[in-house]
Amino acid sequence: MRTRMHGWSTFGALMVTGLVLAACSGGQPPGGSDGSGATLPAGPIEVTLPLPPGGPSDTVARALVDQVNQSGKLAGNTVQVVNRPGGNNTVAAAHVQNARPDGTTIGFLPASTLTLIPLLGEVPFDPAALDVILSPATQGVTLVVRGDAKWKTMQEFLEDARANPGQLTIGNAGAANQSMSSIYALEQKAGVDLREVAFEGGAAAVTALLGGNVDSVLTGASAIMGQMSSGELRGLASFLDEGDPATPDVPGAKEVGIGGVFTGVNYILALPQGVPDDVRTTIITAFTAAAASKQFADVITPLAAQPATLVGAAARTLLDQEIIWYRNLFESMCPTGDNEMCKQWNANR
Amino acid sequence: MESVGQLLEGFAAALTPTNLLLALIGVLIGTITGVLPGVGPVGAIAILLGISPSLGPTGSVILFAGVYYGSTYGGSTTSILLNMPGEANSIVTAIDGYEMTKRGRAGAALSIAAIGSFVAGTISIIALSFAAPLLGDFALQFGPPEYFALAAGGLILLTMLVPGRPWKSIVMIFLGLLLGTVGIDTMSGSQRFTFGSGDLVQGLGIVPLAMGLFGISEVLAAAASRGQRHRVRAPGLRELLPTRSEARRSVGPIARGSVIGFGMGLIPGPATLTSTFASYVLEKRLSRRPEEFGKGAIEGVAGPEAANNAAAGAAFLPLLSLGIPFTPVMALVLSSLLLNGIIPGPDFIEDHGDIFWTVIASMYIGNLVLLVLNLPLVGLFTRILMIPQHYLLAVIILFSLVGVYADENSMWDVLVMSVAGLVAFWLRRHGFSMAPLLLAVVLGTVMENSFRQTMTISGGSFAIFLDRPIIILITSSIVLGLGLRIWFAARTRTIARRAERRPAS
Repeated sequence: MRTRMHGWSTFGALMVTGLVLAACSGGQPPGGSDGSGATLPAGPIEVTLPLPPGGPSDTVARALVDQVNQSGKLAGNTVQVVNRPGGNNTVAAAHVQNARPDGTTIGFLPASTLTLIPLLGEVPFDPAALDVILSPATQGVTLVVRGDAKWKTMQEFLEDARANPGQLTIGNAGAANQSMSSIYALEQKAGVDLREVAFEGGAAAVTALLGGNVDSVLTGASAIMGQMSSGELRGLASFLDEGDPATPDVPGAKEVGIGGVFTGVNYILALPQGVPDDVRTTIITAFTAAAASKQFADVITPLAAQPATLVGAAARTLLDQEIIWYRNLFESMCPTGDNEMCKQWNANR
Repeated sequence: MESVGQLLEGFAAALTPTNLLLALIGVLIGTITGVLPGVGPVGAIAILLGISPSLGPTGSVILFAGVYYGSTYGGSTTSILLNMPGEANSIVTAIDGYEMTKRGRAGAALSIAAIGSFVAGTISIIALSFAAPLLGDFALQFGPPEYFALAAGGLILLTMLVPGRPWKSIVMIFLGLLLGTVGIDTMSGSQRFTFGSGDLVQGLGIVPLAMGLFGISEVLAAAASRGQRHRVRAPGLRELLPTRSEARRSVGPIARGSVIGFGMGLIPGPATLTSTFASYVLEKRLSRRPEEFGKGAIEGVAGPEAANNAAAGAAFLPLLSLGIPFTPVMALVLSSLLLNGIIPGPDFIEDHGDIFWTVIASMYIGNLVLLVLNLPLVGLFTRILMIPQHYLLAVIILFSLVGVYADENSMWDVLVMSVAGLVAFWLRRHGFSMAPLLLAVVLGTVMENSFRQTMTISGGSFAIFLDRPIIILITSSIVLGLGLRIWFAARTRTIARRAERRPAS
């Protein structure tokens, strides 16, 4: 019996250790001061990313962080990307909101985390409470078909879709996400009915397209630049109104008559509320300079991303416009539409 | 024979001091990340991604490839010694590997795992060098219907995997299927079984589940028995090498495991994992001593270890010949190429032949280095078992807590691991095994998503399954497997009955 008691107390102690560690992370940090003259604490600065390493957002975030480190504008602090994936990006957003407001935690989020996701369900953070400081880059999506497909242009694809409602399939990297909303917007704008297939990420969708399992895919151009240049895939339209500078051969949304179906994947940097003004200014200056640098543009342009430098209020306005765009889409589509996104929108109202 | 010339040029480039050093550093880091529980290649490569622009494209890929196959090599160490698989691909190795450790054959198991990994790694690199352009399109033959067949077939294989009562395996499989649904549903984006909790939305990760179900529950069992029941003996120096009979018994499993692993490794997703237990089940069927499986059969270590290393090599093929990363590690390798301004696509081998062949040549070198590095380390690793248990258990807990947190920087994962460990401790006391549970979590998600994708594509018609040759192939091999199982079971029963009758007559 003694043996047994000993064993139970051992793992009791282990569990207590686990719970203490859990409590430490969940606890509210002490509120920050708003006095001036404050400086960044020494040590590493975390750029929190809501997506796993290796994807297009990760690559853009790392390119930006590289420039900040090389510029020496935050000398004394090493900036590093920390991936906190999960929960439709909400885990990372909540982490930033609850972080100590001393400038050592900065969120690098796709704007849809703060605009689209909260419209569709409860989120563990307050989108309005994050301090949005900068939009450093924006990325497009492109509708592609196989190189040997019968549709040579977007018009041909849409005419076929109109003639055969619900027959053509379109693959996409996930369900309740930004590009899916653009597929719905396209269907409304062009008066077509496509069959949407959600995959576990862009790579899975492109594989299914190359293997002939779906007719078309809407995805970020960065993942398919190689296939488009080799002719395995054909880009029918960039959903950016004016087209994507990285793929000059692919017409833009306006040119093919579907303007306004996409807001752009706008990345934003956000701080927790209450970072001291001086520290905030230092961070904004360093990241704005990095976003405006030629080196940053050189790395991300081939990834079909474009640098932007919308600072402070301008970045917040970008978010407000996105929210209006999504609201308009859902309000016109969801009274009659019965897709997954509308189900969530209707349930969340 | 053009490729032989290019390969020789690749060797010339790979043997320059910088590239050689990068390959060495890579496999060393890889071995360490493989051995430490919870720390995987994704975390290590993500940290190294920062220096990728200064290494250039070739250097980055050589380094990252080294980390990747180095970690696959090292991944079996904790499975065998401590019953703690750090990743899904070494779960099967733990079944017989840890039993061998309990019997004092840890050294032999580790040596065979290292040799099997080397042979399988080499076979897959040779296949990669000469068949890359031909095999590239193979992965494209697999769409959602084929994935469904693979995952469903895998689940059926699972019921054959574990000794003991089948109903206990089936209960664990259903529990695994259920746990796999927690979180955000990929197909609709809606939440399932989250009960309004911001944490449950993240779902139950494979790494924290694996570490809890195997590692933590093992520690708890050892602590509860106070080292009497689970006393593991460290082998003496003479016992480190496999005996002649153990070596002979491993040849077939290594060869078959390499072929299965490479073939299935070309297919993304569930295939690599399925290849490890396909190899295990195959060896159990072919063995003249199937009753030894689950009690420390060397074939159960040799086959699956060869399979997962061959699959690790094959995983590079879709990235290099199609430009599509099928695994998180390959996504990181792609990212390092992109950061260096190189966009891999179907023309990669043609346009960037120098990079491709240098990387391939460095893989041959790295694989050899790993064997030379790992065989002497077997002696060192088995010394771990000499550490008094009360220290060893504390250290394992510490490494597990740090490792599982570091994987996705998530405190939730720490909690998942702890709770999974407690539950598994209780379940194992009642004779349930954890391998079917964990494998069902992985396969269940794949099976559900691919089934729903298939149904969306076909508009709800099941006919789509009938005109796909690969599905018919997969289905018939499963039916054959099941048929053989029933036949074997019937035969064993007849033999047993005859044996009973003989003394009577």
